[in-house]
Parts: sequence; C-alpha cells; structure tokens
Amino acid sequence: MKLSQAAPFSQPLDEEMRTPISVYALALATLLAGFAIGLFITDLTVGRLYLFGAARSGAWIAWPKTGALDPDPYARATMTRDGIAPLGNGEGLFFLAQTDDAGRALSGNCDYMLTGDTPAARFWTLTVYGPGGRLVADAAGPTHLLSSAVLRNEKGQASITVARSARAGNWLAAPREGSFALALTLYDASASATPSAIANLGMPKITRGDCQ
Amino acid sequence: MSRRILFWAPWALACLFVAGIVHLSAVLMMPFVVKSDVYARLGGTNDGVTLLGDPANGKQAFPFQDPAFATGVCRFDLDAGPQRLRAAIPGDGMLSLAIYDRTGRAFYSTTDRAALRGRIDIALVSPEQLESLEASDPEDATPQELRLTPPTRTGFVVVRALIERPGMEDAAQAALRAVECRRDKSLLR
Repeated sequence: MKLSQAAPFSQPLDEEMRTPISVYALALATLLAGFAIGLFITDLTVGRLYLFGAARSGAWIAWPKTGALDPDPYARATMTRDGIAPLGNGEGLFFLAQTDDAGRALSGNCDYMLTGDTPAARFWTLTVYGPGGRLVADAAGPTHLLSSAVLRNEKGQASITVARSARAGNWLAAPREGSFALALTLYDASASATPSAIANLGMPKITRGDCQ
Repeated sequence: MSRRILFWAPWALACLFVAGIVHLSAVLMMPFVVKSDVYARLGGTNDGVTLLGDPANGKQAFPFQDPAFATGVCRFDLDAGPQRLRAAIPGDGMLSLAIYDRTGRAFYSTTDRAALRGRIDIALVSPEQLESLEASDPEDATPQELRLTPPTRTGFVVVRALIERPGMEDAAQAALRAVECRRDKSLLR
C-alpha cells in the first residue's frame, strides 16, 4: 500500500532528476576541458625561452631580470623546467640572437656576417647554440669565440663569419642543418642591466649572406 | 541559433575560467614542485666545488652554459651552519660567481674585479646566525667578509673560471678547485 502511494510522486521526481545529470556531465566536461586548455597554454608559454622582460638591441635580446632576484613567474617557471642557471647580473650580460637584423631565423643553410663594435666590457664570448640552448656537437669547427682571440684589421675593426664550412678570418661553425642561435655574453660589462641601458647599446649587426 | 549561444556561453566562460586558474597555478607552482629543477640537476656538495661537465666534450651541465668557462657548483644548507665562500683572485684569469636560492634565482653575483682587498670573501648566514654574529663582533672593527642572508635556507653557488686559451682548461679547473666553499662553524663564535 505504501509503495503504491509513493508511486504518483516518483514520476515528476524522476523527470526533475534528468536535467541535473546532464548538467553534472557538462560541468565535468567543462572542468576537464579547462584543465587541458590550461596545461596546454602553460606548455606554450613556458619553455619557449622567456616570454616577458626582454630588452632588445637590434636582433639581440637580453633578459636582465633573469640574472637577479626578481624574474617574472614565467621566466622562473622556464628556468625551473629547463634547468637553466642564468648568468648573474653582477657577472655580465647575456644576449641571444635567434634572427638576423632583417628578422629572419638563423639557419644552418646560410652564411652570416657579424660586423660593428661590441659594447664596452672586460671581454666577451660569442657562442653558437642549437635548439634549447644546447651546444652544437656536429659542427665542422669552433662554435665559440673569445674576444681576446678575435682577429682585427688595421683599423681595429673585426668581422666574424658564421657558416657551415671553414672561412678565412674569424669563423664560427654553424650547425649542419636546422635553426640556431647566437649568444653574445659581455663579462664585467660597463652597461647596467636595465632595459633602457640595453636598448642603447651598440650591438654587432647580423647580416645574412648566401644560402644553399 | 541565439538560444544555442545562450546555452553554451556560460559553459565556455566557465571553461576559460578553469583554464586560466589551472594555467596560473601551474606557472606559479612550477618552481616549487618540479623535482628535476636546476638545484637537483647540478648536484654538488656543501664541502668544496664540484666541476660541472666539460662543454667542449659535449658534457653540458645546463642550457646556454658558456663553453669558454670551466664551471663548478657547490651547495649551501644554512641549517647545517653558515657557509663560507672564499676565492683568491687568479693572476690574469677571470673568476665569477653567482649565488642562487633553492628555486634558482640569482640573488647575488660578482666577479673577481669587483672583489674587495683582492679576495672574494662571502659568508652566507641565516637571519639568526647573522644576529649572533653581529652580537659577537668587536665594537670598532668592520667584518672581513661580506655577509649575505639568502632568501631560502638552501641553495647553490655556480663558480666560473675563464679558459683563456684552448689548452688552458686545466688552469681554469685548478682555479675552481682552489675556491673555498664550505661550512664555517667558526662564524658562530
């Protein structure tokens, strides 16, 4: 008897229940999609070098805040994920060029010429890096150069060629294939590590030559 | 059509909201949850400088390591006592060091050129250790060492010595080994 009395009420209750279940399903889908999108954006923004805080001078980019106590959260996450020990601002200034002066990505298929003065510093190093800041293992020659080893002409000017095969004068070996980056590090630089000081530094020009 | 948009819009907004929260917390938490961070990868001890790889032979310790330098690392743990960092200035080489907190922020860095009285002499102390150190300082003498309080109680120091010419790697590595980086109980007089 009690069951049959309850029966009339069960019908409307059941119908009301149907909507919440689909709402729960949608909410769950929303949560999962949000999680996936959030992690995807994180992967996009962390690990493609540093997103913010870049100071530019020509094709050269420095991130003055990574060498001090106050890197932004994205730079911190990138340094953590990739295990980077950044050069301290008290040691020097680290510049990276991933393109030539015209904005084209540096490629192992092309020759590049670096001309012009470097900013005042005790000395500098110029290094060829492959993707992810890895040193190039299969290059046909030297992949780093110290300022004291640079050959200069009678006027005291220097030019450096970056190419796959050996060149006369100052030569750095580019990787056999793929894109690469050039790092110019100024040790005991006289310029301070602020964006405005960096923007006014005269950095070498990077000109693309022949491509294969 | 507009009814369909009205139905989906709140869900899409909620989805973006969740994505934003997940993204921000992932970025902010990364320095504290990633196990293979730079501190773990570089290793080292709090008793002496450990040489890090040899980039010229393809052994790279971290991305963008400068192959023109011999690189070494040592750790500090202030719970085990204050850490003393001392380096004599090499003849015509270059020596530089950066001190990082546990999450890899370079809170102090210097080169041999900036050193006072021809020596790099740094004491890494916790705020409590600094207090007891200052309490026992003689009245009219300035301390010999530069005293720093790191943002975290553990961390690491990266020391770099210039390889002046190819073939002089040994001299640079010897300069690194000569750097003193150890616990210094004598600072707790």
